[in-house]
Amino acid sequence: MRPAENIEKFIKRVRFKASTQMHERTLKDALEAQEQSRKTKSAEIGPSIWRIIVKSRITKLAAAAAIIVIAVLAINQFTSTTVVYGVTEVLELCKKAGTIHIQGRSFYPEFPEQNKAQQAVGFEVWLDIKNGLSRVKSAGRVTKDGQTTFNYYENVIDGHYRMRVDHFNKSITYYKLDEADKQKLIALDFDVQLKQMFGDPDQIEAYALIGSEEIDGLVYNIWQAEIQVDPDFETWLRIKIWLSPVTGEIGRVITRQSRDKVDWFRTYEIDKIERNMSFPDGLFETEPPVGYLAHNTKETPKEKRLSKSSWYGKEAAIAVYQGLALEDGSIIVVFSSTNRKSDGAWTTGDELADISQIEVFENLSPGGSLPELPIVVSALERKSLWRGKAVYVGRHLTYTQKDDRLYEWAIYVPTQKVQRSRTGYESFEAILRFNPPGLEASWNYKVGVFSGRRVDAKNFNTLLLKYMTDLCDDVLVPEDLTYENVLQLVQKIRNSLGE
Amino acid sequence: MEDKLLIWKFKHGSSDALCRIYEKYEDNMLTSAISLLNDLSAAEDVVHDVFVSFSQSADKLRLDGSLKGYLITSVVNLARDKIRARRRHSLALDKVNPVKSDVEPPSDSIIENEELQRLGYAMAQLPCEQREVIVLHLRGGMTFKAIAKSQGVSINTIQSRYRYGLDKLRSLLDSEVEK
Repeated sequence: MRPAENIEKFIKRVRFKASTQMHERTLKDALEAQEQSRKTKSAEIGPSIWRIIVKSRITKLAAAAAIIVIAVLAINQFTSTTVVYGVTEVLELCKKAGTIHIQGRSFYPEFPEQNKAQQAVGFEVWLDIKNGLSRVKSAGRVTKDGQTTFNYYENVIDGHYRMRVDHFNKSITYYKLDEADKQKLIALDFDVQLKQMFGDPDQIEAYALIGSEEIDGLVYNIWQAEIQVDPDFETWLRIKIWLSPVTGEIGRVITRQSRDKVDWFRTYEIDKIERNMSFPDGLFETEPPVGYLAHNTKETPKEKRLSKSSWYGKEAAIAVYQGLALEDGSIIVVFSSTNRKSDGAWTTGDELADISQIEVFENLSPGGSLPELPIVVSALERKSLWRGKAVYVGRHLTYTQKDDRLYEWAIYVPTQKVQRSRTGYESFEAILRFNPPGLEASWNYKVGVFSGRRVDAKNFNTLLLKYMTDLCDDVLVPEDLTYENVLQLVQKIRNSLGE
Repeated sequence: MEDKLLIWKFKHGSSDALCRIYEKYEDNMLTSAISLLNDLSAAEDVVHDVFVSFSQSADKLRLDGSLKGYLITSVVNLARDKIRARRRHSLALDKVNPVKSDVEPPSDSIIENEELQRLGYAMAQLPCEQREVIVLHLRGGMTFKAIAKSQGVSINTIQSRYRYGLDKLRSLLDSEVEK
């Protein structure tokens, strides 16, 4: 039996967004009614004041003066557009911003093996939302020889190309942006940044004003929210935002996380946020920094299609491509896997395979079992702090072959109802199965899913099939692979899971 | 704190404040109305009428509790009138058929939010009084004491209505929410 508490949370959480039509109609009628009510009130007040003025000579002057004062006050009151900014107003201002600049630090967990406490890593984000330009500096954790360190990257988007700068290896790589990516990437980055600053926008009402503080001569109101990330997770975020009630500027954001609401650990600290500012000259230029090796040029850019990550074990290796989310919430993931080469050496990239695996794929049917490759992504598990836990069961969809390498196109269907992601990018844990059993991955293997651009009836051919032709010798993809057929297959899988 | 400022400005004639109040509580009012009526267009009408009426109330407005509670109470009151009118209309049209529920399923106005659809149908199985207490407490953030005062009944009655309503909802939604 479901605890009553969860039903209560469910009722509180469910939300229906009013249509634009309704919003505009109601607001228009309400404003007209307010104006009418105001006029009526003024008309009622008018004669009585006039009677006071005409009653005596002494009061005439005093009342006239009073009326002038009242009129000045009233004009100020009724025409004033002064807004006292709270969290909700500032979130709206941020959503409407044309440009944004954010600078801060993210904190990584403790590294007890190195006697290190939480480690701060700087990040900086410049977004020109209107023109589709960005420069984002971030860091990735790298463990080498038992030591954890951080590698800084920058991604610069100039509207046509993305230049990835690797500060650790001092190198750059160019990627050509396709039309769909140009605006979308910036919008998704923007969405992530807003969430980082304010938490879940649906829980914005959780904020309360807890005090004020002066920073660099400006007074900021401090707003705080403690948000339970998900009913199934005993994880809480405490977000504190310093806002100027006068200008709506954000002075600082500090985010803490806790599992017991007793010990709070640092997660993010943002101390510079600018909106609608101009950019430093040359910020979005995609020329390599001096002394950096260019892996390619703009004339020979990498075709950024589905990104891939590989894992090399003692006996076998697997390469998993970025997943594609369908409108109904299921996910398509491509992977390939191979045994260690017969000479014992590993090669890199796409040259892994040295034996044909065609027999493994030949007898598979859509919706049936996955191919028994050396390593199989049998399921995906989402452990989202925001949207809760969910398991997606993997089934065979189809396969392609390119350069003697076989690629499984698997479909992963959630075993329960899942909340749709509002962010552009989600990370899933891959549940791996090994053939022969007994091997184990030494860490959690993650699969990225680009939920921001879902595969639907309109873009199925241009998106999914385009990616498919990249991993296929013969450009032709299976004839029966249509959007409708995939959805029908997903439904069948769902039904079988229910049984 | 923000609401107090908004109310102060609204009472002094600020249209900015009126807009802000509407934008802040529009979705909550609409969701509450749908939960009570299970009909999108009827719910939109209720929210529209409540807010237009609210916009004219600047000089009369005296808030004992929260602004959210006040607005949701107004939604509940108007939704109750709608349900009664609908019931009278329904009885007048067909006196032979017993009225099983005072909430009709949505007709031409489709509620596209799947979770809300489920909640609406489940809520429709509850007696009106239980439904109202649940909406006022969970969506309006009102205490049982405040609800009891506004409805002119004892706090024990309100708590019982809430508990019975929630138990029934739990059994109806138990399998629906997760799967």
